[in-house]
Amino acid sequence: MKIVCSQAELLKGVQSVQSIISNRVSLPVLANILLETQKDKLKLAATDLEVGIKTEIPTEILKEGSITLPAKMLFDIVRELPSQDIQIEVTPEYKVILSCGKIVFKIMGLPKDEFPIIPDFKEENAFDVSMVTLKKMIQKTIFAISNDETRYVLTGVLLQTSNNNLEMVATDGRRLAYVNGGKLNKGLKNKLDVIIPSKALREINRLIGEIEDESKTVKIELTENQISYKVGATILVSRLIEGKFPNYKQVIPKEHSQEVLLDTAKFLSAIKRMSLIAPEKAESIKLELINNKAIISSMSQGLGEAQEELEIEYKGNKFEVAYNPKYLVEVLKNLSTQNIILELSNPMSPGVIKPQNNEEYLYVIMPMRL
Amino acid sequence: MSQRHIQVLPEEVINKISAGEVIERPASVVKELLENSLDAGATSVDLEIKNGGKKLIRITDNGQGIPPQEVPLAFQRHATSKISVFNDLDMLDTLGFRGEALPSIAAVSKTTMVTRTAEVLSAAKLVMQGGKVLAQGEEGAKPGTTVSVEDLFANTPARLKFLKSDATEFSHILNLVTELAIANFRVAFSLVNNDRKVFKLAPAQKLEERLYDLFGRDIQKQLLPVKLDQKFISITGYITAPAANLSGRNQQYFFVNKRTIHHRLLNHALTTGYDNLLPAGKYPAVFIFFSINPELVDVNVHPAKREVRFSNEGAIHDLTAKAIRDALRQPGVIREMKDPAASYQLPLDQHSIPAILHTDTAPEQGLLSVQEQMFLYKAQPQETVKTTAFGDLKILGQADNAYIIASSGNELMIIDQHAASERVMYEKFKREFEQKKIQSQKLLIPITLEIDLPSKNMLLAHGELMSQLGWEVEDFGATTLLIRALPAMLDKAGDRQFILDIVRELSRLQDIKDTPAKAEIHQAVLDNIFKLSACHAAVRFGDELQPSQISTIINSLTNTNNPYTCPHGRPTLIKLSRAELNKRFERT
Ligand SMILES: Nc1ncnc2c1ncn2[C@@H]1O[C@H](COP(=O)(O)OP(=O)(O)OP(=O)(O)O)[C@@H](O)[C@H]1O
Ligand SMILES: [Mg+2]
Ligand SMILES: [Zn+2]
Repeated sequence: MKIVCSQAELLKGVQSVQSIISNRVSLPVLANILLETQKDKLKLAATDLEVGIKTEIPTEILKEGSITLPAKMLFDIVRELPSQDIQIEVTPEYKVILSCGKIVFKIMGLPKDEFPIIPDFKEENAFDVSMVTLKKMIQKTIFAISNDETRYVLTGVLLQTSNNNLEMVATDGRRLAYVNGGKLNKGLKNKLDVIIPSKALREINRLIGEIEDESKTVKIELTENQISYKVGATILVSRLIEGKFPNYKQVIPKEHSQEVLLDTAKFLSAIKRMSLIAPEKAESIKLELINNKAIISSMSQGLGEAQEELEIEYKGNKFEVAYNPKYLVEVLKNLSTQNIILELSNPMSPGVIKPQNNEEYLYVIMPMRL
Repeated sequence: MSQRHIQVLPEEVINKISAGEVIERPASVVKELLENSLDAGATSVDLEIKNGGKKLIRITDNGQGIPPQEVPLAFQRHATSKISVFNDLDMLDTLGFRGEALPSIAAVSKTTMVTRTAEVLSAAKLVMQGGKVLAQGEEGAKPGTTVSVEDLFANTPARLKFLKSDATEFSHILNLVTELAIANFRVAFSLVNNDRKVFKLAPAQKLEERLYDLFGRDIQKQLLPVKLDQKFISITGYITAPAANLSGRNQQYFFVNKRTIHHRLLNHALTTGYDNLLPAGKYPAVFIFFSINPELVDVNVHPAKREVRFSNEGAIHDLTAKAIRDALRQPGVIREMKDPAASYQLPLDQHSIPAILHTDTAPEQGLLSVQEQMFLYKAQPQETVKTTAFGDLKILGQADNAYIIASSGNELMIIDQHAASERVMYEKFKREFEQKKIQSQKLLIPITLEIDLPSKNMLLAHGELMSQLGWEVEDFGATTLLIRALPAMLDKAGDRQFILDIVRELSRLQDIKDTPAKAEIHQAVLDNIFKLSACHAAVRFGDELQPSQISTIINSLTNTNNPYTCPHGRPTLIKLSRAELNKRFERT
C-alpha cells in the first residue's frame, strides 16, 4: 500500500474511529486501526467486537493495499505532525513508513487478515432521523439504563416505533425514561423493536457532536442482530442486545391523585443542596407536600439534617414520599423546560415526572421506603 | 406388588427392632405417611398441609390400599405387612418394616384413614383419636389410601410447645418431601400448603427431569453424572462442579436403596472425592444413589430409620470418593472449575502498589521493622479505634483502579478501595438495621430470580427478617422468586450467588435450638448478612472512581468505628512515613 493524504483529514479520520478501542483487548489486532484503500478513498476502521466503526477520507492512491497500526501510537503521531501531506507506505514485511516533509516514522503494523469484518451500510433499508432529535432522545434516556449484567436487557435502550413514531425507553428497574421523537419521515416495513447497547449510543452521540442544524440527519439501518448508523462518511455498527425488553407500558401509572407544578431549576438545586448532608450512596431525600409548600429534606446519621421549602400550589392532604436523589437529579438535569409536573398517588407507588406542556417525555420513578 | 397380610410381629422379632420416638414433629408424620404410600406402590401422591402440619396433614395415594378387615390391625403396634420374620430384613424392598408408624401417629393426633383395594367396591374408613377408635365405617372412594392427621400433639401440650413456627415446620416438611421426590422421581407428587399450591411434580422418566422441576433449569449446565458399577454396589446420580454453588450443605442428598441417609462417612467421602477443589465455604450439590444388596446394609439402627450401617464402611467410603473423583475428571470439568476461582485472585503483577513496598535486598530484620512502621493493622474485632487521625488528607489519585493514594502530613497512605468502602457500607448497614430503618428501594420492574425450592422457601419463611434487611421478596410460583424491593445501597440485585449466600446464613437460624447460644448465633447470622451486603454494595477492586466518590469514601471511612480494617479483618490502609520512605531510598 502506498497513499498520500492530508494531515488534517487523517487526524479527523483516526479521531472518529479510535475511541471505540478498549483498553483491554483480547486480540492484538483489536488495539489497531485498519487502514485500507477503497476506490479513491482510504478506509479507517476500529472495533471492540461489540461496536465497529469505519470512516473514509480522501486520498491519493499510489498503490492499493491495507495494514493495521496501533491506534494510540498512530493518533499521537498524526496529531503531532505539521499540517502537510502525509505519505504512508507499507513494505511487504508490514513495516510502515510514514513520512511528512522531512519527518519519517517507521513503525511495525499487523496484516489485516485477523481484523474483523465490519459489514457495509445498505442505504436501501435505511431510514433518516434528524441528528438533533436523535441526540436529544439519547440524552434524555441513556442515564436511566442499568449497569447490572444480571439484568442484561436493561443495560441497553429500547428503540421502537409505534404508529410510525420513533420512541426510546430506558430503565434500570427503579426508574424509567421514555421519549417520543416524533414521526419518521418514511414509513417502515416492519415495526422497530430493538435494544441498543449503551456504548453504541454514546458513540453515536459523540459522532454527532454539537449540532443545531435540524435538517441534518443520521441514517439508520437494522439487520437481524445489528444496528448501523451513518453519520456523514462514518458508519457505526453495533450488535443488538438480545432478549425481551420488559413491557414498560405496564409500569407507567395510568392515574394519580396528586399533581404539583415545580420550577425545574429550583427543584434541582434544592435536591442537590439537600443531598450535601447525605453524600453517601443510598441516602434518601424526603419530599413533603403541605399547604402550598414542597418541603425537601434529608438527614444523615451523625452528620446532621437539612431542609428547604419551595412555594408551590398545593391544597391537598399532607403527602410524604422518599426518593433516591440521584434518580431525581439525573432527570431534572436533562430537562430544559421551565417547569415540570410531578404526579403522585401514594408513597409506595411510582411517581411520574413530565415536562410541562410536553407530551413527548415521561419519567417514572419508584420511591424508597419511608 | 403382591398383597401381603398385616400381622403382628412375633415377640422375638419386636425385641430386635430398633424402636423409639418416631414422631417428633409434623415432618416426621409426613415422612412416615409418604413412605407408606411409596411402599404401597403408589405412582401419584398428593399432600396437603395446614399450619405447618400442626392443624392438618393429608396424604392421598393411588397405591394398593388395605383390605377392609385389616385396617384396624394397621394401627396396632408392631403390626406390619412388610416383614414377618427377622431375616426378611435381609431382602427388604420397602421403606417400612417396624409396624410402628401408624400407631405412633394415631396416639398423638386425630387420624382418619380411608382406604380401598382394587378388589372391593367401597373404602373402609377408620377414625382414631389419642390411640383409640373414634369411628369406623364405609365410604365411596377410588382405590388407594388417604390418611388425614389433624391436631397433632393436641393431647400432649408439652410436645406441642416444642414445635417451631408454622413456617419453620413447613420448611422441614418441604425438605423432606423434596428428598423423597428426588429418591422417587418416577412418582408424581403434589404439595399444597395452606390452600396454596407449592408444587406439582409430574412423573419423571429420568432423575435429571425431576431435578429441573425442583431446582430450576439452571442446574442443568452444572450437573456431572456419577456412575460406578461393582458387583454388590452401584453408585449413580449427579454432582455439581466445585465452582457451582447451591445453598449450603442442605443440598447434598444420599440415597441408599431409595432411603434418604445422613452419614458422616458419606460427607467425608465427598470431601475426599472433591479433593481440595472446593473453595472454602462452597458446597456442591450432590444427588447420589447407592444401590446395595440389602444384606450388606443394616437399616435397623435408628428408630427414625435415618441412618444405616454398611457392612464394609471402608469400601463404601472409598468407592464413593472414587465415583466423585471420576465424575470430576470428565473432560472439560477441571478447567471450568478453576476459572471462576481464578477470577477472584488478581494476577500478581497487578499488585503494583504493594510491589513497591516489597524489597529484595532488605534483610529479614529490616522487613519486620517495615511492617511495624506500616501500621499493618491486624483484625481486632473488639477494638474500637475512634479516629480523626487522618488529619488533612490530600488525595493524590487512584492507582490501577484498585488503590487510593493519599498523603497526610509526612505520611503516604495507600487505601484499598474495596476494603475501605466495605467498612463504610458495613457500619451503615448495621447502624440502619439497629435503628430499624434500612434504606430500601422499591423496584418499578421487580426482579424474577430462578432459585431452587428449598432456598426460595427459606427466604419466604424469613420474610419479616428479610424486610427488616431492606428486601421484599415474594413467591412467584415454581422455582421463581420475585424481588420487589432491595436495600438501596445495592446497585445490583439479580446476583443469584449473593441471594444463595443469604439463604445459607438464614439456614443456620433454622437449626438453632432453644440453647443459650441462640441469641449469639442469631447475632452472628445478622452480622454475616451485613458483611455480605456490604461486600456487594462496596465499590469493587477494579472500578474506576470519580474524585467525588473517592472523597466520599475517605470521609465516610474516617467516621467509622474502625477505619483500619474491613469487616472481614483485612487492612483498609497502609501508611508509609517519611522516615520509612527516606530509609527505603537510602537517604540517611
Ligand atoms: N398408604 C398405605 N397403603 C397401603 N397400605 C398401607 C398404607 N399405610 C399403611 N399401610 C399398611 O399398614 C401397615 C402399618 O403401617 P405402618 O406405617 O404403621 O408400619 P410399616 O410401614 O409396616 O412399618 P414402619 O413403622 O417402619 O413404617 C403397613 O405394613 C401396611 O401394610
Ligand atoms: Mg410405615
Ligand atoms: Zn472484606
